[in-house]
Amino acid sequence: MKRTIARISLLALATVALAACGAGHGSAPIPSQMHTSNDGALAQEKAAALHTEEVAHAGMWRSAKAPHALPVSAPSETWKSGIVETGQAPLPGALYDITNQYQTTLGDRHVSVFAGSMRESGTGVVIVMEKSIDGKTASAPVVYPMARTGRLRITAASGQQLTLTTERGGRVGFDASRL
Amino acid sequence: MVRLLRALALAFPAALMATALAHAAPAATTSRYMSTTNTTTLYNEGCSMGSAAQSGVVILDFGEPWYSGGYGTILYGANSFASIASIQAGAQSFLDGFWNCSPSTPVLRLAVGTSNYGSQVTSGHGTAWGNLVAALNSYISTKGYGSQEYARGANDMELSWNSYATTKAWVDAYNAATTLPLYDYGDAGGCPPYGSCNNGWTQADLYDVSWGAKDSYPFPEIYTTNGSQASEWYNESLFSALNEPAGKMGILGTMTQYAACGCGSSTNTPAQGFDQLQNDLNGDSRTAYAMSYSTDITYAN
Repeated sequence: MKRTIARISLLALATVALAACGAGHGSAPIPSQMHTSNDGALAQEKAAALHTEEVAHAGMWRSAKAPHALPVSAPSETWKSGIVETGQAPLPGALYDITNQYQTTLGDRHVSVFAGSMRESGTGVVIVMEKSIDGKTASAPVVYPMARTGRLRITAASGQQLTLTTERGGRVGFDASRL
Repeated sequence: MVRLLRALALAFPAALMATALAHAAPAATTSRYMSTTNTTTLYNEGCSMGSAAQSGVVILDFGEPWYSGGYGTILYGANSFASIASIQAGAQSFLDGFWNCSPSTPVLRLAVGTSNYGSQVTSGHGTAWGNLVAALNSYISTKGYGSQEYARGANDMELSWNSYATTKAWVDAYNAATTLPLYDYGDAGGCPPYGSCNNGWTQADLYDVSWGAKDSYPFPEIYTTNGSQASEWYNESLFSALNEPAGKMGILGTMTQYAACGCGSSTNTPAQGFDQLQNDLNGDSRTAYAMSYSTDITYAN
């Protein structure tokens, strides 16, 4: 009985000690080799492969640093304007089902208007994202739920006045110039 | 009293393991939705990270697979075709910038990313992507960057975007082209505990592309503040621990979208996203695993 209590007390002390160590935060990533004893064969195999790669990289020759080097310049891509028939968007697919988009340039901003629906509810949605012309800053998306519309598609653009059509043929308007 | 003591004696090792694996979220790197392959822009992005002496995984998401006279992607925003050659040149510039501007210690794992979105997710594209990553690896070696840089592939594999069969064909082709890791920074949409997975996928299918394939590593998006995505991936890890002969999956890290998205409930900070999943994994001895990386994706280039 006394031995059992002593063992449990030691384990308790060890747990508290480790918790205290864990509370001391560091910003360095934990090595991927820090696994538990119940890792499967595949985890061990992949860890070994990563370790082999790390050893190989550690032995590679080192180039001199060139902090004043200038990059090779190249032209930037031109953004498309108008309706773009793609559902690809920098938005989580688990949340949004995007049908297509409209793009325009307003002043010093690229503006993208995405149409579609909420993935789970099917509620129609319009999402607006802006990015500076130089690409260095981007605003958080603004989400406009369109109640009682269902999935939307941008079907016409007259200047920045957009027409969106529902799957049942209904139409709603969206004024991109007010953004 | 003896029974109580025995129960405590059994509980402590599990607590000990979870405590040993508990650690603060690593500092998050900046990943990017790419609207450009401009070498100056990418050099400056790499230099910025190097100057800050940051280590970790950076995923440059170049958009959905595409074919236009050759393989490539459709960039975000610009919605223009970017060839594999232009993506390679841009990524190499990022590697140059990081090397030239960094001190001798930080380590970059640069992952060139695409997705399983759209009609051009093919085995040919998977092969091309694997060859791209292999070419970047050769560049790192030739240029003498290897002590601080690694090349990786990445795919935002979202269950709603395409079928398991189509996605698997891409992954298999990538695996045949290279041995370099492939990060899955996608989702487990609709999977347990919320359902039986979206779009005809199963947990076994998701395991297959995100971990079972020889090069694959899960690096999931953990956006939702209500913990739903963390719960899905905990359940995926549990599935692997209980059902897969090769054992539980090793989740490398988490991606959040805090810088890019003020989408209501999908705005975990990097630390929140990491901690959610880490706590879920460590709360069960069958899934306990110490993740290594955190990255947050932005729309800015």
